[in-house]
Amino acid sequence: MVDECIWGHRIYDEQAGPMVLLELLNVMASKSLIDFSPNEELRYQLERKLPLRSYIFKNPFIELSFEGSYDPWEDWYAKFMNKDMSKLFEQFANPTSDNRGVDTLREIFDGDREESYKNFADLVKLVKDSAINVDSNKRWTSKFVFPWGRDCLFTDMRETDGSNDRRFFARTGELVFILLSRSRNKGRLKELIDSNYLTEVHPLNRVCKLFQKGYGQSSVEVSGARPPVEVLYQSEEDFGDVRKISEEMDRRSNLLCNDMIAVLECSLSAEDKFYHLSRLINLHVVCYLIERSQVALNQSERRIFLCEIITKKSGPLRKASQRLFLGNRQVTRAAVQHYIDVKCKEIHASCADSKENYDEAFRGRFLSEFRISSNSEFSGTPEALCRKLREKALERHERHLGNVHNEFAKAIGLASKCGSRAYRYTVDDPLIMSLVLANIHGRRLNLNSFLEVLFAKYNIVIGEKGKDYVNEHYLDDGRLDSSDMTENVENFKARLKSLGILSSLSDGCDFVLNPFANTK
Amino acid sequence: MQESRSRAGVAGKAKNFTKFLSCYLPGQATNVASFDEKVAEVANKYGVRMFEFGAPRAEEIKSLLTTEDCVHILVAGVAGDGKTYNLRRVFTDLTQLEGDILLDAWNNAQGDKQDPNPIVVGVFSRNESFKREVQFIKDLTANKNYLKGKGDGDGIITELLNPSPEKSYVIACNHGQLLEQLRSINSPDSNKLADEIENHFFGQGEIEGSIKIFDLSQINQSLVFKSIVREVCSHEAWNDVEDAAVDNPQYSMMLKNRASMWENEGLTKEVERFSELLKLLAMERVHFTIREMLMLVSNALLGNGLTKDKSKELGLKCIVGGVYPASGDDDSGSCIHQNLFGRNLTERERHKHRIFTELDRFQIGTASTRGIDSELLNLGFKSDSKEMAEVEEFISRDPACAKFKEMMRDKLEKQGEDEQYARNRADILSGLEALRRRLFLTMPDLPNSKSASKWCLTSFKNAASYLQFVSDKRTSKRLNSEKNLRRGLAMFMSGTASDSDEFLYITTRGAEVDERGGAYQAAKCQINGITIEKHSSSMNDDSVLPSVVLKFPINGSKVEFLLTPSSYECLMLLGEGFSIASFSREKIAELTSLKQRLIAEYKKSRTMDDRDEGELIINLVRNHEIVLISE
Repeated sequence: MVDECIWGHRIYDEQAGPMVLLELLNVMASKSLIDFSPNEELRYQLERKLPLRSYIFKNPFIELSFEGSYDPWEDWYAKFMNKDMSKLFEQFANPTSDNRGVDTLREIFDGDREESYKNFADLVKLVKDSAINVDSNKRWTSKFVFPWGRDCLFTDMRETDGSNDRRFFARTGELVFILLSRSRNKGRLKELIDSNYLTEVHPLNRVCKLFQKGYGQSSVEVSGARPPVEVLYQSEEDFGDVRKISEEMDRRSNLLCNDMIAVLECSLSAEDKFYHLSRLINLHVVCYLIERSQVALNQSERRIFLCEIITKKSGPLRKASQRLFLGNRQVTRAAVQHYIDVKCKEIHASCADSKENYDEAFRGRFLSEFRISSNSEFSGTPEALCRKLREKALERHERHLGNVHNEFAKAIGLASKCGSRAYRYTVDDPLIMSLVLANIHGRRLNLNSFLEVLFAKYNIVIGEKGKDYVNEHYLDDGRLDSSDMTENVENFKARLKSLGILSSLSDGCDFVLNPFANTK
Repeated sequence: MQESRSRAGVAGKAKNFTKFLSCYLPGQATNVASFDEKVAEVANKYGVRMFEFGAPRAEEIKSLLTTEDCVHILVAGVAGDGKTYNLRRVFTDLTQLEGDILLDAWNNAQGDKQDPNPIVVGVFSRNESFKREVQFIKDLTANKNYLKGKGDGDGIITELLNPSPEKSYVIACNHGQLLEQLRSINSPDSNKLADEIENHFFGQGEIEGSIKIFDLSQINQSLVFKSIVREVCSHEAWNDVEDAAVDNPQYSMMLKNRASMWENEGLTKEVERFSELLKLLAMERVHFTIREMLMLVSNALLGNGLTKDKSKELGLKCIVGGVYPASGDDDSGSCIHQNLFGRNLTERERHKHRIFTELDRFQIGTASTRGIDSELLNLGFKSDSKEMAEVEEFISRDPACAKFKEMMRDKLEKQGEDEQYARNRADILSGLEALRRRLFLTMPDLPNSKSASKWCLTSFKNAASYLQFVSDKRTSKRLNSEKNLRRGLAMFMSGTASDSDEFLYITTRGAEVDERGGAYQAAKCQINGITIEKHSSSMNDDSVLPSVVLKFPINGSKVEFLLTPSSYECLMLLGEGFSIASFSREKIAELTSLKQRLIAEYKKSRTMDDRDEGELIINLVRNHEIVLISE
């Protein structure tokens, strides 16, 4: 339970990319962001929507033409509703009428048998074409319809028992929800999310709703998500400043919330904002991950994302970036280790004067502190307990949370190993565009100011701003000089120019443009 | 004896003029031409009259200073735009100083390193009762605290914001420095002024109050280029060069180059054509400074590959590059056709100069058509068109083309003997590229021809119709190629080649607007045709850009799309059936943004329409309407 204590939840690397946003939308569809208190346990419901998801993702027969068939609807249904599917429908579809699914579908679509079936097949293909994870080799219950509205949302599901699986909805979305509930502008965010992704008017949302016709609600109750703790350590020397931790968390929550609002307010359609939002949420999760690690380590230095704009030539900047990437990757591991060590010391200190048997008292406190059940394999001397916990926590960390920094950074275009063997930080074109949408509120912003914002909000260093900090804190040898950063900025300008979002007036007077800014 | 001395004098003058002109050449380490004052010094040293390019802005500034009651003037621009030059002209005219006195007065206002204060003060009297002090700040960059002051409000911002009739400021600055200094003051008034100036720089709005701003980076660069050629080529020192050419054949090469640019007291076809390229670049918001264009002209006049060995005699320092077999019309090797594109320089040298790399956008030399190439390479394809016949005739008469063909034949014949296939092939290709550049500047002008226009030798094959449309003075006019443009738009929006002027179909795959072509029709925009309107701009007429305007009849709203030369080319080529993937990401992003705006506007107009009530209609691309019963 060490991960939960430090970060609020274990964070799974497999949830990288749009799945965090999708999980968040599911939470928001069930729970009001405004009414939720950041200190309460999160309880909400997830929909299964079996008919909809099975028509789209477990329906290879839709590709068959059924040419010359007397009733293509019946032929298709006979193939689709096989034994396994029929069992699933029985368990989790919750039909509200005696009609078979195919009869309801037939009613929905206008026209003769052949024509109406063709329409149905075309619509299924259309919805499938736009789906999330559709080209991946993930199981069909982990593929999702694009969230045009609230009728398109459903949970990641285990096929065998219909429970909500935690593989791709691994609670990072819940964590983001809890963080957002701390933010000042959550009301505005809720309003915008509702009008963009939880509406019912989008034609394709209405199509998805019709695919569910004839079936009632079938949902899963979800609970267990708790807010991240604010006091990590009790012992004097390691006592984190409670106020600072709280402020740090509020700051990240507000930054995330404001970024989401900025993107949602852009004059882009909801469909096009989706991936920008997703990238920004992932970026903030990476920042959060590192910031909480720093809190656990009781360190105050900022961890930097020194981004090289990809070039063929390797130079000191690339090397420094690779070094920082490695350092940042290891910071979570160090946090876990440090947390266990300090907590064990605390327990030792509190049990030293105990009248009971020291080992017994230690074990009792140990199990309760780390939320381990008493009948678990943890037994032995205090040293053995601590060693075992460290081994287990680090082993688990290596499998999941230890990879989150890498996987999330890769998924959003913040990391790449293009042209080298090791990963380094970079910003690819889609991420640049997302950062522009989130941070340029008017039509344009001076390039230097834009780079300052990136440093202040996300610790992203591209140009001169932040270079000294990097040199001072992280680079003893091979320090970066101004020419490295100037060249990097020139490359960054070339990227902006190729995206059509840079306007240069005269030497050193460049403006980054936001073509989608809502200036009304 | 006397005759030989006078001939030596003439040769000396010619040499001095050449040296003076060579100060502007690319790659000048001393960079004497970087500062206005330095140019004057160099001109003095060589005893050559400085070039006078005319300063239309100076006239306007002078007029404002003499007629307006309260006025301050900001002259903004990139280094090399002629800010100081314009200011000096105003200073001269207002103070009526001449020659050395002017130079001293102007140059002495340098300040020192500790306190740079490049101010020069002129006093102007409109009449006996009215006297105005005009302070010229030659370079705002020289003193970072000039506007703000060092404390106690001693900066000039107070005076700028509260003008008085007795004192005016004329300030030369670059854009960034001006905005930065204003914002560093951080008062409501200075911030407001900074916002207004920033908007003005982006062509969005005017500045309130008594501050007037001249942005020299928005000058008409094709006109400036022509005026530079006119001034340089008509300089009186060319008479000395002509006389000196009798004894020194190297000068005759310079004269040949000059003759290709300036003939019978007028600009040649080559200069006119080249200025069209600069005009197109200006419309793409690529701005060149006067200094860069001077470099281009001096390189065209002096940069002759054949003079390499003799360059020292003429005092030319930067003449490098190979000899182009098809570059000249006779043995003198006159080659402005290559020099204007920087082909007399090494590739490394050329890439150091933005002006040459920007010109590479047109791909002149690599782009061509089958008809023209067929004629150049003797491939034997004959076109039946009359226009092509005209081009064919021109090519058959052109000595450079004949020379190239001879060289090609020679190389091909020897190929088997010396087995230098790769080298021969490279020679032929570079010769062909040089010939195409030459043809672009010299071939007959057939603007309406699709296969024989000079624009066929560039990547902007439709530039002729674009320029024709832009130069039309009418504010709204139907474009000749409107049908093709509509088809291009339709191709991007839905992947189908429709040229309807009533509907524009926009499709997506359901999720992303970014998907070009797709299954689901996101919008069926009813439009009142496509009209092209002129975009309002603070620039002069020549750089006014047209906009495609799509109007929605339901609510009368409209969406505008700025039609730059490259956007126009992109749409026209899409209309001809080019694949979307063959265009740059920048162009695709531009059109995607248009698609987005159209969908947004369509959605707005749909809210005024009640067709959504009752039934759900989903339109698939293949004219397939799916009607579903209501929920």
